[in-house]
Amino acid sequence: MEEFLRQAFLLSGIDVNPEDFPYIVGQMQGLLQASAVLPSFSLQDVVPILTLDTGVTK
Amino acid sequence: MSDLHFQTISNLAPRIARKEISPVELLDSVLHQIQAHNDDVNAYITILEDESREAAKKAEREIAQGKYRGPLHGIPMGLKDLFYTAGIRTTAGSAILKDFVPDTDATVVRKLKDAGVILTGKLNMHEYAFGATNENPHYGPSRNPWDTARMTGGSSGGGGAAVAAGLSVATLGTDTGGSIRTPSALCGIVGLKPTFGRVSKHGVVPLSWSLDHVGPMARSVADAAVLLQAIAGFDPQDAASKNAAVDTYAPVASMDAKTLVVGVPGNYYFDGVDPQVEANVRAAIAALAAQGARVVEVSIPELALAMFAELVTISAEASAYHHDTFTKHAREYGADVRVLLEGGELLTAVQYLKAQQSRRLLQEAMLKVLSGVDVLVAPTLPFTAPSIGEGHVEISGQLKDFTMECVRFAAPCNLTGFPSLSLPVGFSSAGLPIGMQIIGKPFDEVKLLQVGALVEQVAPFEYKNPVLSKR
Repeated sequence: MEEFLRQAFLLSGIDVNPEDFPYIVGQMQGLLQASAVLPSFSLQDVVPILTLDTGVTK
Repeated sequence: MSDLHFQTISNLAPRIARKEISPVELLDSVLHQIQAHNDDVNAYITILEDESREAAKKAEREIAQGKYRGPLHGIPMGLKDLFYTAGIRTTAGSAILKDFVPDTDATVVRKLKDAGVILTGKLNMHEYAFGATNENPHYGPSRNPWDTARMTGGSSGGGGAAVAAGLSVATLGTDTGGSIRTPSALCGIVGLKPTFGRVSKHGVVPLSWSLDHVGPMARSVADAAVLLQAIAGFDPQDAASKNAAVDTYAPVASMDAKTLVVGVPGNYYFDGVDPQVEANVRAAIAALAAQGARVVEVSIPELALAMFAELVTISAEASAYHHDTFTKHAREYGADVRVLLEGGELLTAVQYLKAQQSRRLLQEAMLKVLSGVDVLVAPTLPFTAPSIGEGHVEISGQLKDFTMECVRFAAPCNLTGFPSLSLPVGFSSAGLPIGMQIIGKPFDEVKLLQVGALVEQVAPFEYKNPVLSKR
């Protein structure tokens, strides 16, 4: 996993602190767990994304 | 020395207008409090003593000449150090911007200056607003005036400390995952995150552009309304600004509790809450019911999507904003912000898009529930202020991550853009403030302020100011 992260950051040009790898892995695992509650989205769920910022009206 | 620094705008403004109090006299009181106690609470990064004295003298002259501008004329205020202030350094709490001096004011700063506000300085914050502890590695932690060994919360923590301790009469904060409401709740003041698009963000260092909001932090709901009146409105320089009519927020109109329908979420917002926090929030709800408000339980299962959507959106957008600087100066960021920006670089487009889809579902679900009630009420936070340096909070015997717990109840209103008002409703047995949030329909800040003012009247507790050691 560390080698994967090292390569990923190398490609992105980020000066990563190797001591942060365990925390980053933890973040990714946390998001994976959190995503377990996501439903299957339908086609119409895609459309308004671009209008979210201004889609809220009184 | 007088206690003018602890007064509300609503008390001070009529006396300033009648020339009973001079803006110079008021500023002297606030500056004295800053000199006496900024070392205790570390609220200010930059103090503008000479500049504020000049501005106060000018305000005094104008008022003497009959040119009173309104309720903010002559009111001293520090501002979070991410609002651009022309000619005054704006660090965003970072080392990277430690010498950055903007040549323009943020739109909200210009509006406050036009209204006659006296700028006393720039307030401490979590570095780049990316965190909730306000333990800033470059400028030191802000400290909670109720117990200076404890956190203010963040990221507008300097604002929470300054307003609670009398070092600023009121202020503005920014809120991306609770950064107005968290320090307001932990420091015992009122914080309002308005509807997305209601207040301009032009000239504000961003964290996450689709979640960021600017709003008031104050000592009363009435004061928050005065500030919102001054800063609300369309700004063509802010792409997210909404071109919608500005309502009359101040003075806050009284309301009959018997016409009010209050929704209390039966899921999510009362899960894993400290018993003392829950008891005080439920007491405030009971007080509204005793006045004749109808209280109904509601359910919003889609709230389960909030944490995934918030964490992905804030991380992706923050890493995108910082990317160019981060590739060159990663080592100049504090350790906690650096690791978050590193993690954001690895998020996938699929995750980001699913987060945006989740936001839409949550927005629809909350709007549906709000169509049947006037407001929702819930704890602002599930705990009271923990000690500085503790990354965890203990709730009913369980250790939980402090930052995640700060975001949990705040995120739904950042994700949906709906307005949320936090106000104090009690104190814990340790004497620490407890906050309740009132959530409303988009652009219905008038109702939030009305309900907030009603809660101030009927909640069964007496507010007092924190006592800091004499210096």
